[in-house]
Amino acid sequence: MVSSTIETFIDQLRVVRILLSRELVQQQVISFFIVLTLAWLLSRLLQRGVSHPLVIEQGRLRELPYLYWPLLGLGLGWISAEIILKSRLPSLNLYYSLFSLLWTLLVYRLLVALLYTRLSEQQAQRYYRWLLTPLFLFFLLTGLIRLVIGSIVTVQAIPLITVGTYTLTVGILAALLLTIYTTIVCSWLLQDILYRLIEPNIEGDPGIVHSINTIGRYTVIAIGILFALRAVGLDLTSFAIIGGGLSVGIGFGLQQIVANFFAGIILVFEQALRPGDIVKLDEEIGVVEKLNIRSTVIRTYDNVEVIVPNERFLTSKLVSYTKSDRTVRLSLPVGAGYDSDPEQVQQILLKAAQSHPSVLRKPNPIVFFKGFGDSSIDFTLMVWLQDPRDMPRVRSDLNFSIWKYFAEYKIEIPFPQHDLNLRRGWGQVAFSAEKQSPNKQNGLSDENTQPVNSAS
Amino acid sequence: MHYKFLFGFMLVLLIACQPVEGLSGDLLLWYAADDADTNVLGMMVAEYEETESHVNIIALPIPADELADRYTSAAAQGLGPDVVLGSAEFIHQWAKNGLIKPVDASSMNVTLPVAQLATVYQEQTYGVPLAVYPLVLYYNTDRVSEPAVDLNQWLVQAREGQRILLHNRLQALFWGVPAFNGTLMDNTGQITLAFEPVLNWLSWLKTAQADGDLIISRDDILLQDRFLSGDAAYILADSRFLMQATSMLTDTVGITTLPRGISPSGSLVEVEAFMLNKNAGPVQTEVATHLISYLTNAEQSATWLRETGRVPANQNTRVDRRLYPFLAIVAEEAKFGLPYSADIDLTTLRQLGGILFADVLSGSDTPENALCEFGRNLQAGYPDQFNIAEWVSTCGLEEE
Repeated sequence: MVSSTIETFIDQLRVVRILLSRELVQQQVISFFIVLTLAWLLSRLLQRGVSHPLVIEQGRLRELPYLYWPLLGLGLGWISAEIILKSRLPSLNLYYSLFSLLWTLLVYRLLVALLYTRLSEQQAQRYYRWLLTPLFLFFLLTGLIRLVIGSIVTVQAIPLITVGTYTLTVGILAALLLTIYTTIVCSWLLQDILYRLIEPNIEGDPGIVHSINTIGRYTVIAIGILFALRAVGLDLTSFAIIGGGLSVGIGFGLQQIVANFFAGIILVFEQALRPGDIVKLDEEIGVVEKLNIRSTVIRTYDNVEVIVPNERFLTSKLVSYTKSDRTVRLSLPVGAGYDSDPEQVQQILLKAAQSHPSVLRKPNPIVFFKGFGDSSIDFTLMVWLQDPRDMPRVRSDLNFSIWKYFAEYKIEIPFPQHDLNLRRGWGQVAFSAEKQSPNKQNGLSDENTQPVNSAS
Repeated sequence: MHYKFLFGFMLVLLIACQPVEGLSGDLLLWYAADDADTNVLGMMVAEYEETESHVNIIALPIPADELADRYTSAAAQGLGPDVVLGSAEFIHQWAKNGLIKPVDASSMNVTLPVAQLATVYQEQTYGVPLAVYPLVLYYNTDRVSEPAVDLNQWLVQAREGQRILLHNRLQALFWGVPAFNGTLMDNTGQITLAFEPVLNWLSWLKTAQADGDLIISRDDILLQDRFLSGDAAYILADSRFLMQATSMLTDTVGITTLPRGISPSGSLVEVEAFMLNKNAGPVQTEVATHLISYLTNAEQSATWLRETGRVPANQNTRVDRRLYPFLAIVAEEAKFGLPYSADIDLTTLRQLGGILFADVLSGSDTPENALCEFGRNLQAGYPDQFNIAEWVSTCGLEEE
């Protein structure tokens, strides 16, 4: 089989040799290449070292040096055909056909230039490399095959591998590769289009765009797989039988993977989780980075990426700080001494909160008089933040501020104090305590230690 | 040591560069794709390559309905195959446009006159005939015990309810003109079609249509299906229908020559021929001429006949009635085929003939009027080739 395939390819090369041995073909091909080379040399001279497809000055498109070669080629080709070659060669059909390939080159280069005017350099590069260049090469190759052999069908029929009654031909392989390529290109093309179309219309929720993108991408991939199977010539009904058999295997071996896969689909469709969401799972808070079909990547505040199987989000308790509203309330418990004025404390706390730039004015920060504690009167300062990720920083900032303000207004922050009553033998204890004082043994003064019930 | 090596190398180089004795080179051949043809041609080419070891033939099957267009387009650019095997009908167009070149008639095998004439354009031979496809009459032996031998008998059978199926195209309808002493053209390429024979034939068709069970349709497949299902007694078709008919109807199918009138009938015989690309190089032309001569010789013609049911154009190939009873009848019919040269463009004649028969058989015009209109169109279509002598008095045509 391999030898027959090689023979077929060698035959195609022989065909090319036969055609090139013809005088009329030689004359036309050589004329074409001379004109093409002349056009290229002229275009290089005109470009004067400009390698970029565009010349933009002061934000305006000035020149398209990328088009010089095909344009000059077409111009010179037409002039040479009309003035020199028409009277000397019996036929110029091949010559004209070869020049039709220059039109393909012109359109290709025009599209490349347009890309650079419309998109960023990076995006344009991507489209240029992965979309336009392969397409151009495809058209060029099929055009040449059509020209030489008359039809691409002949090349498509070349067999490559035979398994049983099935034969993989060049055409089937090309169709398969083309389908895979188209699927990949379409998926990111769709992604780019969706971002361009939807993102400006959805304020502040990139998650939705991502969800739509994810759904779109997987839809395109699913369609691509179906087309690829069809391109290979596989009967989809046989997949129903294979699917029946696989379902047993899935039931046992692939249970977790399939569960995660479907959980991923549910998460995408339910919008329960979106990239950019801040979630708490297993006491760990982080930002959802990427929502894949099998797992989700969460980046914690320690900048650690945690890959969580999607099933976990459906089976465990998931706390989302950003599901429907990104604003979050932060509560700060504050204690003040019993000798302080509660209203003054309230004012101070509100002042501290209002002076912080990350604290929202609406809803207003609130101070609650929580109660009378063992050693302090207890307050709770409640503030609203726009971004849950600010919580640790704002908490810290507010604590610093409150400490500063309390010190300034001489408000005591009490700590727990305990009275100890000794009912008998206190003198002996006091003596022995004085004698065995560890501070004294360590060379520390008693002034640094707390008095033991000095009042009693 | 080095000198010995160098000497050895030079010796090998000299041997390798020795001119090859006999034929050598690659050759590209296009033919209409057909599984049976591919197998037979592959076998013959392999045998040929064995005898001519320095020749390599690349035989490329092309879908039958694309062959002519693709060749026309490729050859116009200097590309395409060195040899094309196809219908001789294209010789007129291709020779006129300089896409094929004359073949050396002296190297050709002796072919049937009707096939030979079909390859002649402006007194030069542009093709080597391989096979001929005349029309024959297929009949159902369950319905008809004795097939009609002449048009009168056939009309009687049609009146008795024996259904006749005819295709509504020129080739399938024109065969009755010679039965009334008509011809299409002479050996110089002049259309010598006379008014009376065509009128008689049209009148016969109108009578058969009115009195008998005659179905005329442009749907080939429908007609063939009706015959194969045993729904009709007769159908007109060429030898390409034979394989299907014998496999479906086995013992109930019969073949006979076309029913004669006052003279034998004769169909426009389709000729399959090898043609040479105008742009083929001298080496390829030499190889091609030799190969064509081989593929059309008596021995290979017999192989074509045996394996593909092609009735050979080679006169030296005998189609044995005992071995190939049906094909022998086809071969016999070919002898009565209506001669026409590539000098006339059959495409225009087909179109005009199609209109003529459609107008008359659909009843939209009388045979006389339709025929005069046909004459006028012929004169316009073939100003230098149509001999209008017999049409002047009848239709009032004027010589230009």
